[in-house]
Amino acid sequence: MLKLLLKLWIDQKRRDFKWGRFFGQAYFFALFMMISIIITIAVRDESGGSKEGAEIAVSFIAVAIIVPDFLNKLLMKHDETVMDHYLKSKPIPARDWNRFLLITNFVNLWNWALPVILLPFCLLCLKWSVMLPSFLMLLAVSMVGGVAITAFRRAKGWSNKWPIPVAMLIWLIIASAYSMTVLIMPWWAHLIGFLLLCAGAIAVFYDYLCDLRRYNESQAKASKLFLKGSSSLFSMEYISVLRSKRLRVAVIILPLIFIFNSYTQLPQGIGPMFYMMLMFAIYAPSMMLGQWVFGIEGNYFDGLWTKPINIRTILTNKYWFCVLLNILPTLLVLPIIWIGDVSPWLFPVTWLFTAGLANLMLMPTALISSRIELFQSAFFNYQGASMAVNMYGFVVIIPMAIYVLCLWLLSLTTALIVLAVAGVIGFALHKVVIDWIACRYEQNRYKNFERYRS
Amino acid sequence: MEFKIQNLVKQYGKNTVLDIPELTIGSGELVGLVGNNGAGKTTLMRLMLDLIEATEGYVESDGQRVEEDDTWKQHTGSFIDGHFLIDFYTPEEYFGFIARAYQLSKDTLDARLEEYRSLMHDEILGTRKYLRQFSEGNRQKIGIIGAMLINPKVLILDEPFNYLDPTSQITVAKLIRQMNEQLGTTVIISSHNLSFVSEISTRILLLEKGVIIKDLPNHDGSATRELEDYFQTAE
Repeated sequence: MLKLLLKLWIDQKRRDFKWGRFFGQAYFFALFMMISIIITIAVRDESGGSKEGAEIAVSFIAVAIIVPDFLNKLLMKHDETVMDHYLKSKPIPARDWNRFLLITNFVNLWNWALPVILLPFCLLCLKWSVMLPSFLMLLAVSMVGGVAITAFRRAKGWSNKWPIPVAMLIWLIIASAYSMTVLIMPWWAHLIGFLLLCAGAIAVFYDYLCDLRRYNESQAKASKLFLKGSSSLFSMEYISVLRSKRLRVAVIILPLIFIFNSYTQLPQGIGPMFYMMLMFAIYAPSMMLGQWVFGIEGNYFDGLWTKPINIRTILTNKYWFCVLLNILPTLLVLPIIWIGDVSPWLFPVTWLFTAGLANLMLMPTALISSRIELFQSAFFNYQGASMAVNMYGFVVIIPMAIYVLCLWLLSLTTALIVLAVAGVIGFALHKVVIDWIACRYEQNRYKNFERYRS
Repeated sequence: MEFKIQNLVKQYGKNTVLDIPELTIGSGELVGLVGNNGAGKTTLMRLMLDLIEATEGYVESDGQRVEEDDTWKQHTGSFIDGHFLIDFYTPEEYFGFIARAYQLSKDTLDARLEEYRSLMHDEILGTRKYLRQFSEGNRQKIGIIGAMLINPKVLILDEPFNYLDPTSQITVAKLIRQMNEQLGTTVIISSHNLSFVSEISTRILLLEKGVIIKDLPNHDGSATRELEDYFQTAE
């Protein structure tokens, strides 16, 4: 039966495989790898480039990744932990299902992610004889976190969930204490001990996982409503964002990261990097939504089209909603005026440019957007993304390039005037541009509708 | 409100899924579309609602081609499938949204919803659930009520009896007939449920592989026998 489960799983993976998603993940993975390589080379050069005794650091690195690795998987790793109704109604022993979960953990992308990102350290800083064993140590630590997360997902209710973080804490203490023995033990003996410890930890989490009983029940229960009441066409814009976890996370998390980065850039001085972070901070909420104009509506466009609602009105609402979205992050970065040596005009001008022009540049994505699944996870979710536009951030690069190049190449006053004028032009032209987009959309409406249905 | 179809053809690649040389649906008729899977019922409805492009020909609603003039939207209520529902809305918000789109006052909306209380069985309003959290049966009811709420001059419903419990099927059939008789609404429904279709329809169109093979007047179930004969012998 385990073989059958694995075959089903492989078939499903094969059929769900999408080159777009693969390249998207590979693209981000490559970025992380590049950063890892750069950092590794810098660290190696600073330490004189000697590989002698460097393997001792592996144990400490392995312990250091336990917490971030667990948190990373808590956000990213979403595996099936309970049999669906089809499988549940077949004679599949629970033991086989649990083994299946364990095996799929060993090939799970997120269990390999951190060890692979740390691979440059193994390759560049360690002697060839310890490269592979060191990588194995990191992988084993990551597997412990992976199985713990599977158990965490399977557990229903906090009474079943809380033992897992507690066990992770105990695991962290034990692993930290053991890692010290690398200073007094032969490295190979230490390595074997560490791998045995990891195996023990995996066994404990797996045992707990096997004890957890859970049914795959739908959660059609009453909800805690976000914003009750309003049903206008404009309110649809913010209600969809507040009630869709995917959109909510996208619109909140990314801007917060860039707001944080804007502040942390200040000690490095005001330069292109700061400008980039500042614009991202203000632009990010509307950018996240604007890369999928009509991606939300694609879920119910048949219903909209058969009602007396015109495309131009929906697009205009969307544009103004994006303008409003840029206000909050602008307010959150305003304290930089008092912290850093920055012209106060930079903030309203950045908002003006972003809200007026950059948002307008997002609107044509309505002509190519696919329907996005509103209730899926937000993290690394490329469903509904267009390879050309969203994946590599083309809708972001053009306004960003205009903004940064202006501030970099022109004098500050000239740049601010140019950007402000561009923003005003955006506001002035928005009706004309939206009319044009609406017209084009209606001309190609059948193709657009078909795209939403596929 | 009259529907006129002229030389309507829909092809996907080389496959013709609908071919209707001529058809007129008169004002106030209650037309049932029947046929096996793939007969073209839903395709015809989608073409009537301008949701897919006709390969040839056109559909006219009240003398205006649906793809050229939007006026039909003001007086047409429709529900084809889940793509008509806004999943992140509660039923109250969804009905409120429809009321706004058709400029119905709050009082009118409340009064109209009251008329559908028997269909809702206290399972829809006040539940604090989003549409996506409802069962298929209740989603179907919400979609049907959303289409009927505006007291349309034309009502288009695809498989309205699907997913419904027997009591709700009877209620929906009654509501459709009531709307047709009292408001003079032109109704076009498709269904696999022959007994309901022949019970309420004044005319039945039997489709097979995209072609209307029978156009049967139906008074007090007079077409039932002919339909049963067809479906018993059809492969």
